[in-house]
Amino acid sequence: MGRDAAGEGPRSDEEPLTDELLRELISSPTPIDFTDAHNITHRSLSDYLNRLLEAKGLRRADVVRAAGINETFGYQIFKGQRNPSRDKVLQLALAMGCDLTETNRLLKAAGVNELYCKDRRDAIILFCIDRGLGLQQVDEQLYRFHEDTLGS
Amino acid sequence: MDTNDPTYHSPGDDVEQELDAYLEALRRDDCYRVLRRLSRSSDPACGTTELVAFEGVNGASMGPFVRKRLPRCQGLGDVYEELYRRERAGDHLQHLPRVIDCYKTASELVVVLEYVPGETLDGYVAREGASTELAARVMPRLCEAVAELHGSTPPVIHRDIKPQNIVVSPHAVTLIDLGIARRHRADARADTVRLGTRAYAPPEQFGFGQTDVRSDVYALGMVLWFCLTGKEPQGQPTAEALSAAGVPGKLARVVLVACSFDPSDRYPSALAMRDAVMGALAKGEGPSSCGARAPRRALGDVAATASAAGPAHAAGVPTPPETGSARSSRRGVRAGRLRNAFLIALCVLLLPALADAVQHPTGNNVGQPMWYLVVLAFGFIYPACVGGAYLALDKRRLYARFPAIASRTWKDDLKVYGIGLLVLFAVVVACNVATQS
Repeated sequence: MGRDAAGEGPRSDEEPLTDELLRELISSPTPIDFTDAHNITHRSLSDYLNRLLEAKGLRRADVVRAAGINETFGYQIFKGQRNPSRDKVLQLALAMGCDLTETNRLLKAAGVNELYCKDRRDAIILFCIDRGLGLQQVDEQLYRFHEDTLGS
Repeated sequence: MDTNDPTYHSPGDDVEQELDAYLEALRRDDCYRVLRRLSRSSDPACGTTELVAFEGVNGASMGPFVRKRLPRCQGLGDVYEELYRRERAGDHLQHLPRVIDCYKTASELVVVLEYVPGETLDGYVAREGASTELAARVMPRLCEAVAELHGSTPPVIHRDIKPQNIVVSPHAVTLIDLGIARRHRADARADTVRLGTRAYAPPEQFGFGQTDVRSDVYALGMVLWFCLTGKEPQGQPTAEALSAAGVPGKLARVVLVACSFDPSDRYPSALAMRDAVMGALAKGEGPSSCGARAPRRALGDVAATASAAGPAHAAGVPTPPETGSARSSRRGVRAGRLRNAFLIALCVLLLPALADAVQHPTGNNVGQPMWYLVVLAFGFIYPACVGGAYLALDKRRLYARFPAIASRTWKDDLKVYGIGLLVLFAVVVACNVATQS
């Protein structure tokens, strides 16, 4: 998608100032986003999981239980000894109450695809995350649409 | 709650309905065919705006529509969600583009809007030039458009009102591009995102306070300037600049009040500004009457000709060509004058009635000393009636004449009235006690 796509015509000398200012704003990062953007490709799953636990003040045992994951397996995930499937990552994300950005970062750190709204199952999960719904409600809705639920 | 009752509606049902609607919207997303790109910025971080057509399953094509994709991270465009919600709730917004669809993908907020054909205000002025007629045609409806936005709870502040965002068509005025609008948060000390087009935005949008409805009033004042002069505003308007540009006195005053540096000096709402503009225009100020003040009837004179306050235009001043809004504003003004005449007549007639009641007291006022009756009648009852009449008065002409009054809201006046009544009541009670002793 290049400039002047589909016959836009020559750009006037004076760019709309709103866009200009918007760009200024967007390009000036906040410290957190800056470090995140730079670390994201190198972040390991367990590292990010533990960081989220700390930031949200949660306990690993509670999260693993709420996610419906086997206790030992959960422990190993948080230690970085095991790689969970995409669904397991989503279960953890929902159990921790992650928002969409955090969930997508978790998925990326786990080396799996981020949530894609054109896939119906993903769209349902996306919708529920946006509404702050928990794992149980997600599974209810998935079941309603005859999609595979997250819990086993 | 009885779950067997068919009318039972649990909160879960709402979620399910919304989810269904959401999945439907995502399905529709594939059906939009891009006709051409509308946004001028090529920076992907600002989102894109496209002209699209909807291709239905049976091959029929609907549209065109405007589809905006806004990146989710900045919280941009949640105003569109608010408008979408309002429309689905049945609140029909006349001067804003209809939101057809509004949904979120993983990374974007997608908004599909009605395509409003017509020329933007700056294009119109470049072609046809600025005039008072244009202001009369555009400003009242524009103020109403802004008031519609402010009518949300909490109010939505547009923050980017400028001629490029106003579409003027023969029968309507539409305000578009809500890209940087935001919902007003009363607790925030300053806007966290400060944007806008510098020429039209008020000082507080670039620094030290939060924007509120009066910030939009400032921008409206600047648009009024633009309608009257055809020139881009260069900083805050001054009286000298306005008269140098040939702006009629009444309208110049409206611009000055609307564009005051201190928000509390401006009109308190878009509708108050509309009333002021219509009041200034209804005087019949043609472009030739700059500076000339036709003999105007004071409010008191209206009582003298009370019975038939007919079409009471200041005689001899050429009226601008009738446009829709000017005609309806004249009717509104006439109704206002009738109301004022009625109220003033009431107050005048009350005087002899009260005098009579003082001289011939009835009921438990019999036997009270004369001075007490006088205080009761003229120190309490009469001021109460006059105050009430003032509150009910149609003050548009007064605003046009004394713009300082226009910045007082009705609630302010009501408060003063209430406090005054209490004070007078206390005085009466004290007098009553004095007469008993």
